[in-house]
Amino acid sequence: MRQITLSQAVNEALAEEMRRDETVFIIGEDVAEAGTPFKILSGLVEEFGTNRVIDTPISEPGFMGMGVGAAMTGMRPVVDLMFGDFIFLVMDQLCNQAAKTHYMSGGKLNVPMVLRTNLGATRRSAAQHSQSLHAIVAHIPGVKVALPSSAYEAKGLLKTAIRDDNPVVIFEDKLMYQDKAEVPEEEYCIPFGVANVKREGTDITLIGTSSMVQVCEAAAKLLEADGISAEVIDPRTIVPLDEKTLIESAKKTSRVIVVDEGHQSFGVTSEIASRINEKAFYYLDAPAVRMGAMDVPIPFSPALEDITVPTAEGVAEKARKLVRGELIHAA
Amino acid sequence: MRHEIIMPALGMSQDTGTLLAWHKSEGEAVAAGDILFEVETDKTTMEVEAPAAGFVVGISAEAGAEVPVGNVIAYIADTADADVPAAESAAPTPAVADALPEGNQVIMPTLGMAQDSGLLIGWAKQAGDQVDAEDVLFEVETDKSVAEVTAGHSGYLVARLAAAGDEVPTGEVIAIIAAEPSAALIDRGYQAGTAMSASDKAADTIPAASAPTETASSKAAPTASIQPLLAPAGARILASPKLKRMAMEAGLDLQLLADAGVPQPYHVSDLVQLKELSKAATQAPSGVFAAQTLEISAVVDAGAFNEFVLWLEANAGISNQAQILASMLGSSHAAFTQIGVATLWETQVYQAHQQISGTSVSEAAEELHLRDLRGTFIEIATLGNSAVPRVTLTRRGDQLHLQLSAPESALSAADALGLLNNFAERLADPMRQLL
Repeated sequence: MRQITLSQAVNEALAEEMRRDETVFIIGEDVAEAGTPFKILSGLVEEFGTNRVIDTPISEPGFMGMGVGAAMTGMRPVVDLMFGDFIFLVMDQLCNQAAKTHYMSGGKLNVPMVLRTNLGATRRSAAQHSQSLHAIVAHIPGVKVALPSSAYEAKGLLKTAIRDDNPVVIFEDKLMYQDKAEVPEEEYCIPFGVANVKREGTDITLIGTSSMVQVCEAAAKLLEADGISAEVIDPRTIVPLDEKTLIESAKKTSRVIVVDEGHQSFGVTSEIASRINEKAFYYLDAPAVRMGAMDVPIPFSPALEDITVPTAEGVAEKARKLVRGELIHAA
Repeated sequence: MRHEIIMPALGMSQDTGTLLAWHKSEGEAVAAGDILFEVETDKTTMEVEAPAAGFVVGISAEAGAEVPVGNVIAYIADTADADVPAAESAAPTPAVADALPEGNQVIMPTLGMAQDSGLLIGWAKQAGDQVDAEDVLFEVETDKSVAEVTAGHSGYLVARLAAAGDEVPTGEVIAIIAAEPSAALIDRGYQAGTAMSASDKAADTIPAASAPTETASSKAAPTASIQPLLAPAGARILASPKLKRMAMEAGLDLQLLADAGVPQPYHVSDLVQLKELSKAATQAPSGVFAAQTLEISAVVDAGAFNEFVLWLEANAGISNQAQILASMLGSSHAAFTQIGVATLWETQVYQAHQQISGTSVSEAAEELHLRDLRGTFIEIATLGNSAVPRVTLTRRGDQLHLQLSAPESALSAADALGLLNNFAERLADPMRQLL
């Protein structure tokens, strides 16, 4: 099977959907000729024209509002937010308008828009360009949240997102745009709310989102050497969340670590660990444990930045402690 | 004021340091913070600063000397000609008895130059644990930070000589790591119920307390402590939900693990041991049952009864001795009428009557059992417990021996004594039975 980069996979998904449905258009900063600073959208304005690949001024609330309005009136916009950190600028449009319009209009209005943005630290982009804020969005009812962990997921989830009649925010990992994965030539969509068990195991479950999936897989390999069999699961979407798969795995292994690049407190790890606590309590031989990014503004110093995010060694060490029945730090 | 200058402990597994060079000489004035001397350890070279201003006096180690950690090597005094005590030749004695296990000693390290003790925050390993040299062994708080101290030696932790919350002088031995595991462990690592000034230690919670607030460290520095839990007797038992459920489903009591001293919290891996302990516990009760059984014996001459049997046969046509015995036994206690009489060959229940002729075969369940072993060679028979009181009758020479075995629940002690004595009386003087 051919291998393409995450960037190419996103490009393909958009091109395919735009060919398939003429109401699909792209709007954002530097999306047309520049193809975004990450060079993901190169070639699209050439194929679809400036009416469907629209450059905007630097005004996130402005063009997000345009997207919401366009979605309400029959279009299917894909709004490009250059850095996930800018989501704070569009929160009213996203959470008060897009998320609630279908409900508050008594079902008369749909907002079938996609907000494409990114997350991920260790790029040396400092605190205001490195955040992983998907938990904040997931907290709001009415928005779906997808977290592709590879090129394969990126294409399949984006196509599903564009075809979904609800607002969807899809967070790509900005560190992974050049990472390759096997992506079929034939068209495919990945359904929301279906987790992917990437590796089966019996001693401990490692649940990871986005690039933390690769971190968990690397940790699982390290644990092999210790005779510990780790199961690795990628939820793919946190809203909707495939709870059933996660709970079943927790019941099977009796130990869980949830790894996410958002801050550890009040985030995705807390939510998933809580649900496991509620629904698999009597099957747990160890507490369901969270591993997120440190609760600090992401440092600019490379040495400091690198220790604020979970690593394979860190996950493996925590897993060993849980398997041994040791108490862990409450940090 | 005289300050002692000691050879600091710079590594966890180190007990001496090499004095490389003095930067000040005998009698020289120093300011606080001036470099006094340089020390070399197996890993690094360190400059040691003066803790206070004064004059360096009483230097007792030369450049190049290897000095045990904790030894005084100089003083800082108020004047250049102050008296100093005789140089110490012995290392400071650890505050423990000589009866320490063999092994590598781990000492409280010197983490700051002006520091002479460290607050032990908590142990990361329990007594008896296997440790690697790189494993964190315990956490120490100094005036500036919390440090994780590695074991420094690989092996088995056979002694923990201080408890969390203790202020331990630097250089003092705090743990011993031996090459082999040992059954004889010294563990002062946990003190139940002691009032601790520093960390918060309720017996049944996992403390995640931060360092005492006088250090006022920022939130960015996590200072949680790990406390291995050795719950004092009577405390609640800590176990994982899965183990609790499995124990409940199997009808096993986690208290057995606590009583056996297995360190908490318990996990599924402790289930095997719990099953073993449970099996051992359920095998105890036969002794318990036996303690509740009354055993009484009596002896009578056999002659009177033998004559009586012959007389009855001749005069009343009664030849069934079981019937005779049942009547006599039934009359010995008001409550029992259904008397089962057994020989080695047959058993029959009789409804006993004061009159022997009125004692007849019965279909009911026996309330009292008589085992008539007179025709046999059996002398003594203690045949285990039963719910129904039993009298065993044997003959030895000219005597009849009676043994009553009754559970306390069936017969009080007073009743049991009365029953057997009445029966014995009747056997000894059967004519009375006829009256």
